[in-house]
Amino acid sequence: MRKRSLWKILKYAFLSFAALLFFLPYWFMVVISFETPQEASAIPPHWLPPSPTLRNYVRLFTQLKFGTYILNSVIVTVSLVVGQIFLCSLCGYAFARLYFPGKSVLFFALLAVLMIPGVMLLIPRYIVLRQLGLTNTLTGVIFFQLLSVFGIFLYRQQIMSMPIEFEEAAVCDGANVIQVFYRVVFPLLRAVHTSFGLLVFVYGWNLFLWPLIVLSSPKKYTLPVGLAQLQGRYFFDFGMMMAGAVVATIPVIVLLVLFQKQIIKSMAYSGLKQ
Amino acid sequence: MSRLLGGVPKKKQISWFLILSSLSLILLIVTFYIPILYAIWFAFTDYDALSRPRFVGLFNFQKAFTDKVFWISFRNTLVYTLMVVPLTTVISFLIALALNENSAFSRIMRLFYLLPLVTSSVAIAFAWRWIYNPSYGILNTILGLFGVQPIRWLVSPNTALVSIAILGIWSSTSYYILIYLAGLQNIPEELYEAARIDGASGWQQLIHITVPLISPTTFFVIVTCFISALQVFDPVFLLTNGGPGYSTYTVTFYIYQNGFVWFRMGYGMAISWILLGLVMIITAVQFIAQKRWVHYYA
Repeated sequence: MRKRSLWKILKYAFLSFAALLFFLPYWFMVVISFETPQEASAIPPHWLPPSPTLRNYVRLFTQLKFGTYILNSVIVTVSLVVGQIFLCSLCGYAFARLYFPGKSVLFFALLAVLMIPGVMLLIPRYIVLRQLGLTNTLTGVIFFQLLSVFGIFLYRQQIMSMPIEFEEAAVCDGANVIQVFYRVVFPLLRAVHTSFGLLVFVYGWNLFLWPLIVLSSPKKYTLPVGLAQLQGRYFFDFGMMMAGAVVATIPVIVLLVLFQKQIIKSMAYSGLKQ
Repeated sequence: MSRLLGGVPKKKQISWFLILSSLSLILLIVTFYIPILYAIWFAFTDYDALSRPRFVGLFNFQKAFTDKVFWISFRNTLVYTLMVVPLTTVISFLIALALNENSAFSRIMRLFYLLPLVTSSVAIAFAWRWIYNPSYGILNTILGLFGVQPIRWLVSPNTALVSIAILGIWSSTSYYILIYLAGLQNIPEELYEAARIDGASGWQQLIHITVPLISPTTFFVIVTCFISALQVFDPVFLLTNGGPGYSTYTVTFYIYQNGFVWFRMGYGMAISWILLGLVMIITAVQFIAQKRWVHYYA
């Protein structure tokens, strides 16, 4: 018995130590964001800001366009969440329940793109973007991220595991397919909408490389792109950089705390990270 | 295969199918298939984003094989991957193993481990830029307590790639802990009970039950971790910009530089095909090798 409790203590010590490794960067991110450049370069670093100041946050919104960046990021994120839920559930429903000749070939053509590494598409997508005249627009950022093959797959699987009788009853009552979809099926998928929507939110909010390529004027920058510019302008001002990082991190942390269970479940189910 | 919607004639189903899926299918063509066709065509041209592309045959591929910077990027990518994949796999397995219990402590701990998973790579890079700062960063401060001389993490060509790899391990471990936790929950509890009745120790249960039965998850972790590590870009771009010298150039970073900094888009695309080839070969090898070590519980 004594051996087992020793083992348990060791386990908790290991877990706490590792958790500290994950948590400390965030702790210092917050501390430094409330410090002046002099305080931020103190040796050793402060565990708490000696004279907390909002100076960095104020400058983010006055000297830089952080308000605009946030707004742009909200536009991109909300469009992606709404658009992907709408498109993926519609398309997933078609693949799950409707007849189409060569449907399985089509489905394979859809899933096949999951195997392509994102970087392959970077340059050719930019060329298509230019031909469509969408350079330096948020529409261009959104348009090329709107199709989620993973999402279609997820919705198809979920719909296939639902009883079909409600839908057929609605057909008997004279509803057409689109009415069946949005009166009967769509509301029943609420749990999927939540977990998939959370995934898309985190993905859209943090999206970096694609908007970096599409957007060229600061007016259009999303938050991660605008944030990345800080390190050029404020190279040694860690207070500014950390304040920007905190602003970009708060929304996702709030979501993580509120929806921990759903996020864990859906992240584990997807291959979303990266 | 599930049943089709009854009560709607086949002909009508075809047109409804097209109506419901048309937007997605158009996006599939415009944002995936047309770019892929371009990627094939432009890899054989000297496209520079301005003038008309000129067909150059295999020139871009030949050039890559004699291009010193390409080989440096290639080697850096492999070194990075070989540092990140094994350590990420082992560390995330150990943490998941310790976390795999239904207690309040474990649930709160999980929150901490999940942080990097939901954080923007830019915010993460800023935090680590400070951690790695040679004069007042926390890492050298802590190492200094043990008498270690200050290390110039990101600034020295000897340590820059290792620094990027440490950050890579830190941020990807977060995701794989989740995957392992999900996998651990699928191992039937009866097996452990049976083993305990037979007098197996905790260590024996780990080696003879957990490790073999988690091997399908381990296989997934290794395959996906390889694929993403071979494409590492964000930390390189944000922390070192490939430097100092070429010491942190990775293949993806080199593709970005060619395409969007030097506008050698044809060459950039040829390199991305080489990268795809590398990813596919490594993945195929893993799928062949898995027969030797992955156990599927039936």
